[in-house]
Amino acid sequence: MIPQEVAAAFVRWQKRVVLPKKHRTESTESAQAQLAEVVRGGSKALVEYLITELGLDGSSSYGAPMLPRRLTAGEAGDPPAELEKEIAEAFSDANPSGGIHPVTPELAIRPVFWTIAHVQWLRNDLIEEDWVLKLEGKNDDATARNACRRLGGLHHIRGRLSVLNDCPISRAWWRVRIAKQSAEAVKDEAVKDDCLSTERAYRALKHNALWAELIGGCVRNVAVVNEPRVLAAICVNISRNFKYGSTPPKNYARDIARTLARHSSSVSLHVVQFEELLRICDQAAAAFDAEAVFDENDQDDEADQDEDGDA
Amino acid sequence: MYPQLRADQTSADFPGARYLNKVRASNNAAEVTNRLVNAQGLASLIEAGQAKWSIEVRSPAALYSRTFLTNQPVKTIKWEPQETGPEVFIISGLVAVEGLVLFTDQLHPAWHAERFLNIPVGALLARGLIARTQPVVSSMLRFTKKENLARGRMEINDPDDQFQFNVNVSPELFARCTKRDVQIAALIGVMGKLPKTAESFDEGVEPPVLRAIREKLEEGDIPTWENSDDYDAALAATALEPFIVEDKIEGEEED
Repeated sequence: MIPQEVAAAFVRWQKRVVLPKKHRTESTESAQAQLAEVVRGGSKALVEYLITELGLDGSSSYGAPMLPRRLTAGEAGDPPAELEKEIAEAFSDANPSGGIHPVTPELAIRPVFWTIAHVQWLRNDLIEEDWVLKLEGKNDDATARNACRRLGGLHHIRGRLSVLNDCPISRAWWRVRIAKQSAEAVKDEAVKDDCLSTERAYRALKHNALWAELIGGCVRNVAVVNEPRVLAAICVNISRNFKYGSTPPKNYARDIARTLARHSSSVSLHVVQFEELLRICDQAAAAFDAEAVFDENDQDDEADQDEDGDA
Repeated sequence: MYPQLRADQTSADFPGARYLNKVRASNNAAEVTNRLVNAQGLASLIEAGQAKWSIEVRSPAALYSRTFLTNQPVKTIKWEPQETGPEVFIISGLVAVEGLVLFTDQLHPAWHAERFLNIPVGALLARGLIARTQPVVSSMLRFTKKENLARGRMEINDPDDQFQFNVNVSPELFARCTKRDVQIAALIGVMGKLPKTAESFDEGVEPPVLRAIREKLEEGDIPTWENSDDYDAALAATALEPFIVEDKIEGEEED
């Protein structure tokens, strides 16, 4: 569905406009200045620019899914819960005669897929123009990074987490998918006075910073856990400990995922009873509390490996 | 903690025992072989239905993980590439599927303080290797026939978003692109592009394939692109995939 030459052009384009700081050149700066100018020009300018840079056939939709309705800039920047679910639902609809296929993980892990989809949405005025204008950052470098991240992800700078987290529409699709899978995985499990519905799992994952922590841990290393029952246990733990809409403490989800990953070297998390998974999560949460008290006066945030701060 | 037999032989818990774990995979299926050697205690747990082979299909990039349980030493498993993306790992092990008793007489003396151990359900009694379903080198190359490329020529593009290098070859060369010499020539070209390609990735986010190649070269004491002065694309490529040079057959004439 995505021609190889488009995928290659996409990588060339992203590496022209964003490089790690130490390898940045004058030509990077010039490409960034051009992109910043395009962003200031709005949706039409951005669409034309991307069609040229990626070598897209302007008449093809490349099977990109359609948004359920027109999004405001605010909705496109951080879709509210109901909209995230609507988007995920709409993307599961196939319309082969219209060249539209359901979104699959194989496609959804590729920043190029979401970037092409944004071209279609912007071209069809399905995203308010302000969303494009708000991609502008404090300088051209920040603008270029924002644009790449929000359109689909910036893999060579942010790694595999980027497509799952930095592009709001992609994040919505992934979040709903993981919530569904987690709830499905434990629907027959006996959990004391508790059950995990898709809605409850979704609510547990809705906080963006928590989602980034949890999913970041899952994609960074092959040795960590993304078994649906494990994610379900984490969802139950989060929903038991934090009210929907509240802000869980930094590193909470990361620490629980790490604890589970450590257990996975001696225990099959697929076979172990769900109650036991919940117990491990509770144990990790208790240890986290202790650390939080211990580190109360320590204001140093963990060094962010990503140089790509939001503007 | 429980005793564990490891396929990479990094545990001494089961003296003299071996766990042989082999994976033959395509892009949507794998035949996984799990065999125990000199591990009668573990083998009897499988016979009694108390332990099973666990085979996990994992794709971290797609947040995918599915586990199959079997008591058979050879098992074919399948998955949907649409669900996993191209980068899939197979992870095997032997897992207790019920609470069981493991007698310590076959274990390392460090375990002999007790006559038997109570092993809970889920304990991983043997741990296999992490196997890639696609060989590192072949996952990087994709050959495309380019009609207007002069006879016998080859050109290599920068990698796409899945870290595949498209190798354009002339039509008559395309017919030979399954030949090892053509593939190694392409690999030398790809290795020549790696220093520039690698520097475009920020620290800690390089593609797993790139990391796997670097580690493989380091294991063989071959300079990597990170020591740019000594890095040699042809040496690196042929260290990964050497030309097969057959010994001269007796009586064969020299060219």
